[in-house]
Amino acid sequence: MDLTNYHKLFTEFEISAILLSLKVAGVSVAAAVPIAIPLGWVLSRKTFRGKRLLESIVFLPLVLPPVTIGYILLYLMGRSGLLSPLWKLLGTDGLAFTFWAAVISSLVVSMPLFVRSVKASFDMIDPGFELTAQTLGANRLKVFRTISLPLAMPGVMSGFVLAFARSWGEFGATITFAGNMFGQTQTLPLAIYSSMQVPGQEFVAFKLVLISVFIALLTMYLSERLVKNI
Amino acid sequence: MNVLDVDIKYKVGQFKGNYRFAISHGVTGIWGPSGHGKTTLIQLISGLLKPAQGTISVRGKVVVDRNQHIFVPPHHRNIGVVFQEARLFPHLSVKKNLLYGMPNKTPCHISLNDVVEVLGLNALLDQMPGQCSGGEKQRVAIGRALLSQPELLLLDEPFSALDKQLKLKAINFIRKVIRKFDIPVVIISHDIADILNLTRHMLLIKQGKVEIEGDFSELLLQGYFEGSAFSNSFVNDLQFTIVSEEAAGNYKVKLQGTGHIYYLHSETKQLCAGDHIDAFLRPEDIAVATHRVNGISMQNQLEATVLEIYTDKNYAFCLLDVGTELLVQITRDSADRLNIRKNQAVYALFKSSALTMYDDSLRMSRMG
Repeated sequence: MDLTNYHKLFTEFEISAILLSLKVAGVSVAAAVPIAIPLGWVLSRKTFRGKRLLESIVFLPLVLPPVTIGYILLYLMGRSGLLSPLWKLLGTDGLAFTFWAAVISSLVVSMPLFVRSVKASFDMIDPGFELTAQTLGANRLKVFRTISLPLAMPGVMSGFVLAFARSWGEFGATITFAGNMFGQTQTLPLAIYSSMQVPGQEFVAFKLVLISVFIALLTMYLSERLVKNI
Repeated sequence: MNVLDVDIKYKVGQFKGNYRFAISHGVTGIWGPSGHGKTTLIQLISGLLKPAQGTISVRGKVVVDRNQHIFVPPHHRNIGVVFQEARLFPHLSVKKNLLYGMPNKTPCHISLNDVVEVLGLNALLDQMPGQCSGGEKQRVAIGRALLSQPELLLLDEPFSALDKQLKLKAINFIRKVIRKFDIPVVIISHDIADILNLTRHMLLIKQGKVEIEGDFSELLLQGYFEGSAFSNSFVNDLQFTIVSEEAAGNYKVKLQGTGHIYYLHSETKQLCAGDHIDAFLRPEDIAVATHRVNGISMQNQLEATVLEIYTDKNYAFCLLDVGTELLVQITRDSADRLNIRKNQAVYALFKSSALTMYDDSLRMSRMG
């Protein structure tokens, strides 16, 4: 296949949706890493007042319908939402119906999967290793960097992949909070949905579904290779 | 100056600890039944637990003083701990494990080369912990703790995961470590034999308190070993110098520090006059006679004085002075029949083959 003619294979509509989806999932999962790892560690290793509450908040999106999440995000971050004074201060209209809204939707929906996987892998590490490292002169940061994190790496990687996959498929929260705007917030699932609404576009929807399945399979394959090599 | 001064109170749930003792240079054993707060004590000393009250000092430097709000965290205490389960970091090679705690700024008096040599780790350096046997892991853990240049080494039940042969090997390695690096060591164990293999000086911990501190013979006399089956793996340690080879494999040897002559049999090693050797003798391999015995195959027949005698239901344990202390286990019935008393002059009898060289026993275990 001659890739220089790929534009004949895919329409601009399809290419835009694929690239946007990759971008949204990539940015949201990259933003999730510095949040999910410390959060997973804290939930696994620390006991403190309010831990239960924090846990409930972090894991809530797992059990909420995505549309509800989109609604809450809109309520918080929309133009006249709770954070509107902040938007006024910054001279913007809020984040709703922008690229960043799509990223935030993905982030919120995929975060619990990431955190859960990271927490589970910290739970699996014998705290004895960390205590031993301390007696060998390592401060907390060194213990985390050289013992806890490397030992938790398989869980971190699989959490990363899960979060990416979940972002890749995110629909409900995105359409509610970010809308369905071509080139801006119309990710692959939204593009599939739109094509299905238009008579005669069934083939486009079918092509996008195939691509969606292909990318999901590729992600799973890569993650398995990664986990095996750790 | 004491190596360690402890005077602390600790409480968690139903458990109350009230530890008060001092440890000077050399090897000290901390002995006590399981669940009586020995591991808690290790955690308190190393800084993994915080006492409710009191003070701990290491070589005169205060590391805990609750009144003064001083609490030095474990990574600044300079105390090496070897835990029962070795706890090698599974994602790091043996070499990286060894180097983990080695300071890279301050000069080190214990070097990687020395540790590798003394503990026989050369062939293991590139292996991952998963590829090492239990005994090897233990040695790596000891080496790793030593390389962190500690001022005090704590061994928490170091032999309990090892079988009898591996235990003997580990004991031999730890002895070499103590001799080579001259580092104060505290060994904690529920098995009195483990402690006796390294030291005669011990503290007895019961219900979170130091019940008694003293030498083995003092504790023996006071009946503290009742029912502890300590003789199962206890061995008398003796250091000799070879005098001459009497017949093939049969050596006349001199007990170091005395002029006493013993006979030793070794089939596996060629020894020369002047060689120094470490050997052990099991208490149950020694017989006691009230008079010199003629017409007997046993070559070793030593004049001895009974320092202490302690009898339990089945056995009598006699501590004999034969120029050095020798623990002997005979049946209670024999002790009664011979009417053995303290300060009595007796003879200790054993075969030359009962006197086993550490190197021999290791070689045999390797072959076996």
